[in-house]
Amino acid sequence: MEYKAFASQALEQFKSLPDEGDELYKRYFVAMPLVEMGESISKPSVENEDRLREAANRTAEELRKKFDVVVWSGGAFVSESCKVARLLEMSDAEEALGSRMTSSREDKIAAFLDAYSSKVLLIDIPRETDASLNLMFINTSTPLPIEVMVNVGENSSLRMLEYCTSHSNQKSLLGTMHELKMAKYSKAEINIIHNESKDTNVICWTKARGEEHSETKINFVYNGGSFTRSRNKVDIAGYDARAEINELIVGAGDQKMDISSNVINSAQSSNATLESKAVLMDRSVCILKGYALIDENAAESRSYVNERGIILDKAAHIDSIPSMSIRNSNVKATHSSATAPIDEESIFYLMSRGASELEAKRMIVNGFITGIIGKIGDVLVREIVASIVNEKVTTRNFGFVPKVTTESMWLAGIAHASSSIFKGHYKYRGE
Amino acid sequence: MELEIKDLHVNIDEKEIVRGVSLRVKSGEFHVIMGPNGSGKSTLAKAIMGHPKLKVTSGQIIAEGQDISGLSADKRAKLGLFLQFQNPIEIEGVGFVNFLHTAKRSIVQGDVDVNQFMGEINALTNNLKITNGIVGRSLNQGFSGGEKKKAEVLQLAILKPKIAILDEPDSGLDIDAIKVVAENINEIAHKHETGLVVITHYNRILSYMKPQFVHVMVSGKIVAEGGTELIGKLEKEGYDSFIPK
Repeated sequence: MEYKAFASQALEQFKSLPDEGDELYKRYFVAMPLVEMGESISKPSVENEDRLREAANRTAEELRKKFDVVVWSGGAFVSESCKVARLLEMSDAEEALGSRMTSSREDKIAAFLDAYSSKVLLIDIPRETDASLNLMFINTSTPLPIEVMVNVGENSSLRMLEYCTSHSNQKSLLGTMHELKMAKYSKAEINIIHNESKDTNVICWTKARGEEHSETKINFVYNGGSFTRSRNKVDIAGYDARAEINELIVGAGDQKMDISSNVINSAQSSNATLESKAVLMDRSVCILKGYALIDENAAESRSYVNERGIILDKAAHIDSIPSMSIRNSNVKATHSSATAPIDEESIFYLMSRGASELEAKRMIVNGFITGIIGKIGDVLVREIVASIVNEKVTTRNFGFVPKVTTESMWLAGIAHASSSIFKGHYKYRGE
Repeated sequence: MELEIKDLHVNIDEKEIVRGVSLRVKSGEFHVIMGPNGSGKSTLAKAIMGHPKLKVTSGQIIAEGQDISGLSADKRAKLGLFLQFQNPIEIEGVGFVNFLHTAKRSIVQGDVDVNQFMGEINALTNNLKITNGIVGRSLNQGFSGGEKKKAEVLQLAILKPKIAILDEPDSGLDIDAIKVVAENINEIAHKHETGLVVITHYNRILSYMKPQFVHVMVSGKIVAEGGTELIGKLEKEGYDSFIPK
């Protein structure tokens, strides 16, 4: 399909699909002014490129990370040494758009991104190649919707960091659509860190599909933005394929997060894990949905959904909704959810050993999120995430580059062994 | 350090639990508080340490000459007080060693040499016969009852408080472990001139220790005070003779 036809069809879908109607939107009167955002995208960008380049360099330096691709509305930088990523105008990416897994029909946000994205980042990892890639998306006063399409070839591996930030104090939007295709025996670890300013609306759409024996791990950190809406779906479509979605949500101030993730076992002996942890402070609100589907063909599969939340202040609110649909009886599946205020006895215990109340809370929060942080393979990315959380719990601010120190890392090192997930669970005592 | 409790009254919600307790403890002294279940011993211990849910309705807690009843628990810890918990809290993901290192730095209000610190931890782990070790484990999580008690004593040894309140250091321990814990507490207290207030129901642990002062607490009040002869009397007569008819 031609790009123009694709975009106009998407725009039509976007306009015709109903607005969000679930609880968050009704109860908290959340509205994302997408139509206005779309109109402002159509206008030429007024950003000062030199200033943005400087800001990107500074961010990279402070994070101690070298970025291969930096994109902002109206501009981009792709490192010459980067051989696996190409940044294309949508009109030049017709071939890639033709083989997409996502249809504009299925979601209003997906339709919005299709209608208004001007750029496609194509990441192609050829067969039997190991690649590492660091991306930075900068939100400015002009909204940035972008499509990221990733193909990981047979027997290949990809480790990718995506750091989303803002350099603007005007109301704006950062929207990312991801499609990830994992070929046979491929491996990928994608770390997506949202650390936008409080003036940014964040929309995120991710779809992934794993073929035989592939291993897909996507770690999301939702820390920034005034309002975040994220929809993620991983289809484990090949025999013995594995997929893992790990989500860390840290809310403060008046932040609102609407996160919904699905994992689908659609092949025999496939393995799905969806683990979410939310830390909410001040008046922040999070609706966290985790859904697992085990298909009829997915005998001998495993699926695990776990959502946990910790509330630091009375006005913070979380709705955690795990659910499952199981269509084959020869599987192992479990889901759970638990949310509680931060434990006062734990705070007293730590304070009785000399820690201030803030230090005690920070220790408890850090301990709580260790399981998720420990799943990040790259030690420096772990440090960045631990520092972001520490900074937020300490100052309640977000959207700026944290001081990355190993001090925040002292506890971030214990990863769950996926094989032990079911151990001791009431349904699988025999294991 | 001198800790003086003056006519202390403590409420949980609206209910008075501690009803006028007075006690004076100096560094190097060894006090024991004995009493039946529900007599308010643990509440007294937590109130001394500054538990936020306990309300001191009257009386004073004086340490180093100042009334500390308005201070938060961390400030009391920095002054040199320590509470060994009857049921130590399990905290997910917080590494025991890292927690203790942070606690030590808070107490000394400065840097702590990691090598020396680890050396101390290893020696204490051996002394206390914590066979599964402490390094790499989360704070009290997955610890057996005995390990939890021993880990509290390890913290006592590392933090070196001036006065330590030990709330049932013997409960849940087997006979051998009681001896190990008692001997280690003796050694720590002797080495650092720590004032001890041991709360216990039983005299078994006391057979390995040499308390100087014994207080019997019943219904929120100290009803008898004396030396070790009181332990013998309690052993013989139980708490019944101390309960006001």
